[in-house]
Amino acid sequence: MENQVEIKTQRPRVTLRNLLPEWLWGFVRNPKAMLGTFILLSFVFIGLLAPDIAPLPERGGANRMVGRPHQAPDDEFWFGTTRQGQDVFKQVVHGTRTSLSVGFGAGTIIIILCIIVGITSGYMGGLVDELLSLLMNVFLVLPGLPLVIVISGWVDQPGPYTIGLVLAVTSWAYGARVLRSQTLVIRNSEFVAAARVAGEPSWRIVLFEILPNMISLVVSSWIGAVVFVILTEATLSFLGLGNPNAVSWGTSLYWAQNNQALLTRAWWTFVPPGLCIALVGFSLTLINYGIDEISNPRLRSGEGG
Amino acid sequence: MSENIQPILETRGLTKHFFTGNALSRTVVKAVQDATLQVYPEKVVALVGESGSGKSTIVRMLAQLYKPTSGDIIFEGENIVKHTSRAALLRYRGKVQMIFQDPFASLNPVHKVSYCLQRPLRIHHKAPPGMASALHRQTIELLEQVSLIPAEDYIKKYPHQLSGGQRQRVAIARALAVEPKVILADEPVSMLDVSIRLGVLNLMDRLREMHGIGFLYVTHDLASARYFADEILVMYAGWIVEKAKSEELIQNPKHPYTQLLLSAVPDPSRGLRTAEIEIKGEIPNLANLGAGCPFAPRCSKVMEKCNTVMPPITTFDDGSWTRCYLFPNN
Ligand SMILES: Nc1ncnc2c1ncn2[C@@H]1O[C@H](COP(=O)(O)OP(=O)(O)O)[C@@H](O)[C@H]1O
Ligand SMILES: [Mg+2]
Repeated sequence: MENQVEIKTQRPRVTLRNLLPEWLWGFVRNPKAMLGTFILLSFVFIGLLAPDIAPLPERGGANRMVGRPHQAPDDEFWFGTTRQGQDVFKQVVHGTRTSLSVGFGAGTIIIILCIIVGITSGYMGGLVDELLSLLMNVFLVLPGLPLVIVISGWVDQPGPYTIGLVLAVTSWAYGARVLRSQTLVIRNSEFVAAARVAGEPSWRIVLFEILPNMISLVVSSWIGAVVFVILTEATLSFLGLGNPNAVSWGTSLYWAQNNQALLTRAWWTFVPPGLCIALVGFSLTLINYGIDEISNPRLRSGEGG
Repeated sequence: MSENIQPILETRGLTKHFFTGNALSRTVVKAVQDATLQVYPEKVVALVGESGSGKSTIVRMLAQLYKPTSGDIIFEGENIVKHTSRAALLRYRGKVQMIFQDPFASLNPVHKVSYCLQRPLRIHHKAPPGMASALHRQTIELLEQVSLIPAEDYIKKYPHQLSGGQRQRVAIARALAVEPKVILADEPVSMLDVSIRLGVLNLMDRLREMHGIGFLYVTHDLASARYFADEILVMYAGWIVEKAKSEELIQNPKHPYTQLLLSAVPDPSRGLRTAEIEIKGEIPNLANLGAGCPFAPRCSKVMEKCNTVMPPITTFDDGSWTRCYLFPNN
């Protein structure tokens, strides 16, 4: 029996390993990355299917009063109701949509700004580098959070998407600096000189020689930015700096605190949104650890060296 | 050797100064000074010198990776320092190629061997556009030319799946892809295992003969220069101090520095040795070189004027020359 298995595996077969590129195979085999991906995909799934999981009434949406105030979880309201008689389950499910789309939307804007500014600055050098470095330094010393609070006050009850946009515009500088210094290192490597000798144009050197060598850095910066935006948006909404009528995890926490949920022991109004924020942050951080381990073999666990 | 053949690539008074430091303390590194050399078709000229003497800087200027501070680079009779359009640069790159010292750094880890070889083929239109099969066939041929056989096995590999010697052969194949007339080889075997150096040198020699390629072979190893090159240039602290045919230079070294180099290699007539140049005394700091001969502090025959002005070139009947006051200009 065992012999047969041996012979079988020796024949070239179509296996997952042969189909996937090497880095993706490393990702698939990394337990941290896989657990993180599983949790994250569950939330993405919930966010995408929110209208089917928790259909909303035509008027009032997730904020409509549908039950008695502060009902504990039961068969009808799985996560109970708020003091306003709103269905917490509906709010959390639709809040998933908001939080994830704000997080990934603003996180993606941040990483695109990082790539454009950081790599241009590092690759071009000279005056361009000096001007862009100045810009990066200005944005670095801008006190990000207070600025967001000020802008929030000025826009008057900004929705989660406005907060995301403000966060994106004010928080790209650190990542851009990291990518710039990495670009500086790679730009001076021999394979870039070799590409130039071969006659490659600059845009191809940037996109096909330099950028692919920074993929893990770009992906982990991107994930870091997504976590940052999700947590910060939730914080600002919780502090009441956002629009209190928006449906997001932060807003749910804001209302729970406003209605003194701790005193009234209405734990179901703050545990679900809080847990969601924690789980999404945890899953993204796990994925980042996984990427770190894959791209840095010294951290690789369980491979005997 | 060049009685009536024209050099294909030559430099005149090639100089490179690097400016480093900040606005407060600016230092000038005089990496290459007044370098004159010729590369002939189908011949090998070696550039020998200790680490830090400016060899790579010369090569990188010739590869148009660095802009010379002053001086001319003449390729096929045209001064290429003056022609700086993108089209002219691309034409030059189609004829002058380079092999780097470190095969672990000169191949991009994210690209397969096939990508490495097909990019120059595409850029320089060596394959008819849109003909994937022609491109594939040429890639196979290139790999076979550098003895990576069976070529089909190598084409899909990543650099990290290859040994140092195999990588350097891929790098040679990449240089070969554009059908170059000159190859600048910057210490192509110094990072390789001693046991495989000779194989790579012999490969380059075969390619030289097959395609009539002129080589500038950079090395810090006088014995391998003698083995591979027709002519040797000796470089010290940014200056080329002596040029002669290989045998002449080994048997009858003129410049005191060349003599020192030869004394460091016990017996060069015993064939290819890999002994590296032994450093006696200090290599001068290129950042604060005086006006005189940089070798003067180490020279046993130093004279007073050595410390004030660099000696001019003294040419001999056989075409060899040196920069030393021991050989007065007549
Ligand atoms: N890009 C650069 N910027 C500043 N100094 C450099 C640069 N490249 C080389 N140098 C300096 O020029 C000198 C010659 O270097 P190099 O040409 O690499 O020597 P070799 O190849 O003979 O070892 C060294 O002192 C080195 O520090
Ligand atoms: Mg060098």
